Amino acid sequence: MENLIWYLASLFISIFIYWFILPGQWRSLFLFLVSLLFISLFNLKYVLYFLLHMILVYSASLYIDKGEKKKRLILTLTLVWLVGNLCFFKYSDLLFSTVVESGFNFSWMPKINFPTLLLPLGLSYIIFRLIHFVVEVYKKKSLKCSFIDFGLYVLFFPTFLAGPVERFQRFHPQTKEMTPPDLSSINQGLSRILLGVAKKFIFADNLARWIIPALHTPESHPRALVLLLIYGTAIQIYLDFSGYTDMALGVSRLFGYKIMENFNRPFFQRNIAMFWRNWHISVYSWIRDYFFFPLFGYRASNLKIYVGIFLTMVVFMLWHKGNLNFLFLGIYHGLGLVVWQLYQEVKRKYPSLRKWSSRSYLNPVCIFFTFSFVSFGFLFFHLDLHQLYAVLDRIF
Amino acid sequence: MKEKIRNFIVENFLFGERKLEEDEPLFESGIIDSLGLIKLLAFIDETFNISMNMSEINIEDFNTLNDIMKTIQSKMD
Repeated sequence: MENLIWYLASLFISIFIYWFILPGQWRSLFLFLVSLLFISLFNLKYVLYFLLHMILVYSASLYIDKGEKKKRLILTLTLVWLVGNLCFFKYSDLLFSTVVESGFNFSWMPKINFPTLLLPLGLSYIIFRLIHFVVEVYKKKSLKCSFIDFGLYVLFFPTFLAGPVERFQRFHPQTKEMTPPDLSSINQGLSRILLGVAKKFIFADNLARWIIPALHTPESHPRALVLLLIYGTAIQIYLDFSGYTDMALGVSRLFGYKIMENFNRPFFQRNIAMFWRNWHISVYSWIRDYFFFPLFGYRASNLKIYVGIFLTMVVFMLWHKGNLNFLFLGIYHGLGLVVWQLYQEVKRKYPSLRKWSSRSYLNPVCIFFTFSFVSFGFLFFHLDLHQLYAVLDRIF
Repeated sequence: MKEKIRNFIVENFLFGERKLEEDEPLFESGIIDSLGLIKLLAFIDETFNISMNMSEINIEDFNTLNDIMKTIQSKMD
């Protein structure tokens, strides 16, 4: 809580300087420097690491934008480097621990002490923004901007820790046409911050303190309570994620930026496909646009498309965290989406089934079923396979 | 061309149960999802011989019937 008070005090001082002291043309530089300062508070090495990557991607984008012959090669090398960095920091621990746990004998190898890897905070979000930028330049979008404006987009501190992954085409015009917020915008920004603080620090954190230990000892609780805890887990995770988004959107608003929404009533959706379209929207749409579409084109067979949907969910989940739990969660949701798509094909063939399933009185049932499917899956956030088995054993 | 695409969307995604307006959002309203877009692109390719590179697709370029027509037009120019 002490950190939060310091953060809020620094924030309001920055906003005051930003709007009332600095002339308009200095604002983006100031916000870029504030973002660098914010990141350096976690670790100065992060600043150097991110600056290096930004210089690399900005230079590659300038080269690609000139329309040189080897632009495809430059794009490929840049993407390999960025994805390689992300995988190295996020998944090398998972890979080593899985190999070691599988009982593979390393005795014949010279002994190497692998350093404990420190995942730079916000790395996934920053790599996603960098990939988005360089790919859009390749697609010949007009993304011409100064290095400072590019840097501000990549490191914009309100969205540094937990997104959303805003698109450059939406963000940059707001840097160029910066207008001081009116009273209504200030009100919206402050309300959103307060909503986020309440969701994250009052509700999500306290729910987690109660729910997680209780789920670890399901045998000592009544069956109905364990069932409630499962639904509570989904609500706790939603409050945690969306609380961060609310704070990010609220702070951005006070600096004159309207950032995209990340959640749109996800627990009130009628099916699993609609759920994913309304949960963590910025990252889900990013993975759709830069993983699913380019890799699984429309000339693909139905089987390849279903494999694509499945793999997209696995990648999306592993993006959250590189461990076995999220691999299982990806498989769970990947299968869920494939089954849903197969059901769509069946409905296409049978008009009577289609007519029956679209009846409005079925909406509450469909919403509850989707919510239940999601809630059971979200147990992977807090429990390993043994603990999950114990919870399911208590219920069924 | 516009009518053929409209008919394809109405038949395949609205199951012929209602009309489709030219500015009706296809993705926000849930009429078409990612898989639907793939089917639509395959239809455009097969019917009009206009192929599109999936790595160059932006979903917002296909959000309404009018957007689809603009995108196709720019591809033909």
